Amino acid sequence: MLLIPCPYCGFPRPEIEFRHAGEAHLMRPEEPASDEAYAAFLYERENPKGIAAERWRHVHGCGRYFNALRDTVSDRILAVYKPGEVRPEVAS
Amino acid sequence: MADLMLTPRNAWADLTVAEIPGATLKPSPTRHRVLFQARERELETRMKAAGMAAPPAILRARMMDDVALLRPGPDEWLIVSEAEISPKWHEIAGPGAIEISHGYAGIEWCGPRVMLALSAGCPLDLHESAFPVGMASRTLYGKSEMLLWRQDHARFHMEVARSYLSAILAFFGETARHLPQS
Amino acid sequence: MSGFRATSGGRFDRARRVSFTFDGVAYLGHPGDTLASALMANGVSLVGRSFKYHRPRGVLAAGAEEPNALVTVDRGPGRITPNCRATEVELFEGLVARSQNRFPSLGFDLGAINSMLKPLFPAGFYYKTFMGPAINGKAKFWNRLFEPLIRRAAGLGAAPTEPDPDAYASLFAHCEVLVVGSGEAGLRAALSASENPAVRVILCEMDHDFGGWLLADPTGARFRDEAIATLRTRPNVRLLSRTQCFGLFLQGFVGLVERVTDHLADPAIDAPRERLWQVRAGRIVIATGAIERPLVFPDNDRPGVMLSSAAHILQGRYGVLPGRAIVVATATDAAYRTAFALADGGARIEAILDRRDHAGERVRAEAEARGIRVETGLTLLGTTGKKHVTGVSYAPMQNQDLRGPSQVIACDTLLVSGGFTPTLHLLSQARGSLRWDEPLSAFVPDKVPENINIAGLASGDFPPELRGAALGLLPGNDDKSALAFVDFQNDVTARDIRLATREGFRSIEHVKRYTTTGMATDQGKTSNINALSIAAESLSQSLPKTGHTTFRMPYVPVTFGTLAGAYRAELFDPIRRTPMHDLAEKRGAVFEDIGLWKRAHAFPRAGESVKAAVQRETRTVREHVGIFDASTLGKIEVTGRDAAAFLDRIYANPVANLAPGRCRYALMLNEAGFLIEDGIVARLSDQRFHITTTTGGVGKVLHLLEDYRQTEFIDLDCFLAPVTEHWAVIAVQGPKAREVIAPLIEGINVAADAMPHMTIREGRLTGVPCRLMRASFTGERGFEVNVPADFGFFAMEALLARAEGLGGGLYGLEAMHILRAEKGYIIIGQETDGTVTPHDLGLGWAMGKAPRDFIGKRGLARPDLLAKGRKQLVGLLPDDPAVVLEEGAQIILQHEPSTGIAAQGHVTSAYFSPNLGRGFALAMLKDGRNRMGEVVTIPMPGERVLARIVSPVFLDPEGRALHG
Repeated sequence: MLLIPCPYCGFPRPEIEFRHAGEAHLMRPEEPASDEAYAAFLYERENPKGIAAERWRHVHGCGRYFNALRDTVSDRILAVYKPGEVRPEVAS
Repeated sequence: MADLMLTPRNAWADLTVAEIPGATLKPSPTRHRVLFQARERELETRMKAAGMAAPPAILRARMMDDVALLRPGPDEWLIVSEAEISPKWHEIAGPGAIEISHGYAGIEWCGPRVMLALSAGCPLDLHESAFPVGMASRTLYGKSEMLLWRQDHARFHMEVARSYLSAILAFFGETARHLPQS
Repeated sequence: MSGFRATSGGRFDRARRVSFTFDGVAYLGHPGDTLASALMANGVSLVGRSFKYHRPRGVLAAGAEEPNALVTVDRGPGRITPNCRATEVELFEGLVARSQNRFPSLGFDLGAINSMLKPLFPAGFYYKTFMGPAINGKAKFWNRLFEPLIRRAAGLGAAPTEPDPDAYASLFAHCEVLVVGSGEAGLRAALSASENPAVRVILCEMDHDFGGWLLADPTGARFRDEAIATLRTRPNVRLLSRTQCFGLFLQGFVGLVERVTDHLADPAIDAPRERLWQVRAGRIVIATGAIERPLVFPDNDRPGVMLSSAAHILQGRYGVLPGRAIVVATATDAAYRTAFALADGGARIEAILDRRDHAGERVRAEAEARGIRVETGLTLLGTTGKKHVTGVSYAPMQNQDLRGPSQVIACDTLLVSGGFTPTLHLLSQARGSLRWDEPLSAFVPDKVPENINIAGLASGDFPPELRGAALGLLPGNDDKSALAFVDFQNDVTARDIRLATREGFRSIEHVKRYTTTGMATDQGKTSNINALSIAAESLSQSLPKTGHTTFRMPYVPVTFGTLAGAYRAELFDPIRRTPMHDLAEKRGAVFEDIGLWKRAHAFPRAGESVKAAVQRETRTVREHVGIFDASTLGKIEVTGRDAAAFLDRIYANPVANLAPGRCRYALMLNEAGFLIEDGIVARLSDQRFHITTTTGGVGKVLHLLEDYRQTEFIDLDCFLAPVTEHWAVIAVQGPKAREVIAPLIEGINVAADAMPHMTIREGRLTGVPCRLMRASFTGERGFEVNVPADFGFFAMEALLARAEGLGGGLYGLEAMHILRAEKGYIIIGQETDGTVTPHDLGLGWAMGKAPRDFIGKRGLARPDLLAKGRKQLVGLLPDDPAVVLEEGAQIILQHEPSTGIAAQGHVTSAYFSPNLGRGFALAMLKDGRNRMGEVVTIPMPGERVLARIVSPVFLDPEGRALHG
């Protein structure tokens, strides 16, 4: 079970309090968008080997959504930040 | 039909105190609950305007007048109280005040072994250095969500969604029998 | 000496005796014994039969690494535990243990014929032999014939068939330092860490006693006893014996399993059998010691062949000698020490056979002083004996060649020492890495995560006497028919591993899987290094280049009970009941599980079947009035200045123009344009909405709404509060619904023109606050009465009393389903499956005409969602009115064959309607709305059902009953 530092609660909390909410920073294509662009927005995901930006919700805690950078190789969470904040630079 | 009066039957109606040596779970007398939702600064401004102290910080609870104000998230405050919650609180909260008295049940946990008993289902470190008196947070007990407020070293107040009360008492009943000595 | 028990020494309760049985024979032992030590004290050396060849086997090791002595412990029905290591089973009064994998008996095992057929059982034997002829592409011979036979012949113990009657506990624990292993290194780590009283320390030990090797070493006893006494006085220390650390995960998360009662003859009735500790530790000290390796040579598996360290523990801790005439074969000095200790205990050391050319100075001198015969620079060629070793043959070596003829020494015990392997499974699980240390001939820690320390022998810090190794197959043993065992538990021989490399397996992970070496329940604790070494040699590459396989958790098998903990039967998931549950129960409700909720399926009366009750209830609602507990419906209160604007973007329906006091049936789509949820949006006031969701959907909806509120529509000022459980909801449905509620309602004009269909009012029900909604999921005139949950029970009782006076009564979930289906009302998850749009369901009207943006709007414009020929909601009437179709059944064209063609659609809901007097169904069918009147076929096993396509609204298509 991972420990996830919730940026609102301010300290690491057990993973079972959280729910994963998919890839972060997905951009809805500017309208009018082509069908291909919209399909990519709906279904195409990065799924990187390495640092992934993803969304989590502290659903059994403060209830807030936030972003996390997780290294999918080591399964370590390298940074967390609030929605709207710039993705921080981290080394894996 | 005016003669017909509906009698309240609360979540504890058919449930009783649960206990093991060193840990007792009983109904909390807090019957009234109002949920406030507001942006943080907004609530602070309103409370200041009403001549009141600042609301508690996130994950903290505080007694204010005769009610307890719990803050489980950045933009929500839960007021729990034994007596009817006075209208001044509704005024402060404005349209974001939501009456939820019957949606939850309060459990009082007390006794020297409650920390251990909670550890059968709660993944948080409940040591006082990590979960001090005055802290209040939503978390899990078994598979049930709850809001846990530490009132004293060996006293906790737990708020649970109404229909989870019996599951929580059952989980305590099963796990508390199996605790180690210390 | 009595039997094999010495008259002094050891750390067990010599004064008391306990009786136990093994394979039905009664024996005596002492408290503090293991089953293995007690059996050996009684001279029992044959304890098991091997996996594949059914070879007789005895105890090899002293702890969790034991590969041979697997027994079944029988504690009564449902409490039969197979595959226990006899070296770990503690003795207690009345213990019943049995050997495994033998028929009819351990001494005479028919399966031993496999041993004579050994040329038939090379590596990959099963893969090669039992593929069998495939029939219709399926390996039927394997499934039906070979696999069951093989499973019976080659197996471990049998699992019990009864439910497990034991309880299993579980605790979360937190500490600053967790020490795994209580040998000298572990004790020192725990002592020093716990000096600071603010540092919480957990020391776990898999054995029933603390001390590890110190328990077998009289010179270490004092330190051990003092250390434990000190630790016990410290309140910041938790000492856990009988506790196995089975898994080490990221960020200091650790799984421990504590055996609580398995060692007790008469456990307390309430005590759990085992306890799972889920520990979060700031720092972990791995002090797990090292495991000795056997020597690989022909017939190295006979009972009487034992690891030297195991014999040392047997003698030092249990006062038991493994035999009387002992030969020690070794590549380390440590085995000399064993020989000296056994000699002191009264055994005769026939010889020490040293693989090396030179032993250490000190042990050589002591052996000489003791007059023990020592031979050096030799290889072992085999053992003699049948069910017990009677002798060992060896030959002197020069470089890699035999230097002279083989010789035999008679003995009743052969102790072997092929070197030591640091126990680093946990480090590997924590994603640390290992490196090969050539002088030590062992894998030692390389990269260690920063929150982990390795202490003692596990770190590779070996005292000189533990150094030395004889890896792989000993030279002079190239005879292909010889069985030189590497993995004792899976019966993998040196020949098997060589064969695998010859057949082209080069990766050690593939060699492992092909030969199954290291894949038994012991995960190759004693065998992996020898297997690697043989593979490396036959691939002509270095051992580090060959690499090692991955250690996976659990370190030892963990019971399912421990992993399940309290979460089973009634506690598997929380059971949620509505405030009116007791009322339903009193009225004879049959409940069904909907998510975590118990909901009333129907209310059969005395002598009435559930089916008949459903039909009666369905009729009652259409003819009179029905009362229904709808409390589980999800409810969310949406407030704030921009609540209306927020919901207007969320729902496919326009919401902003909804007047206070009005309700709207609303659809929620996902970004792709598919329908995911429906419900009612009710506007209480300008800045306050009460919205409902499906019973199962509220969590998902709240999650989704919070997502948009917090991260997408951040320009809007609004808040969401779950209020599902604050309100109890009683649906009153039927032509007499108003008559039921009118006398109880205060402060609301419920007249038809004052409160039309799809409105909401706030008032009181006999003095209690009430949100009254005029809505219908039955197609009849309907009200939904919301009262605070404490009043739900009596409100429902009062409404029911009124309804019964008017010929009405309770109805359950099944009647509700029939009623809504008769009207063609959909249920999310029944008519929808995540690929259905509002247009497909004929609900396009709900989205309104005015241009506005909402979630799913762009998705709905995708070409596939606009294409012709999509599946659409239709009704189906079977030709035979008595037939009720199967939900999920496929639909084909009338004259198509039953199999081998693509379906036109499927049945989504099907019931028998008392109001229609026939079976009917809803279905999703290709281009359905253009095919009214067409007859289709629903192929079922053994028959073909014909049905006509009709409108999905079977009753009152104008909706007259809703109004007025």
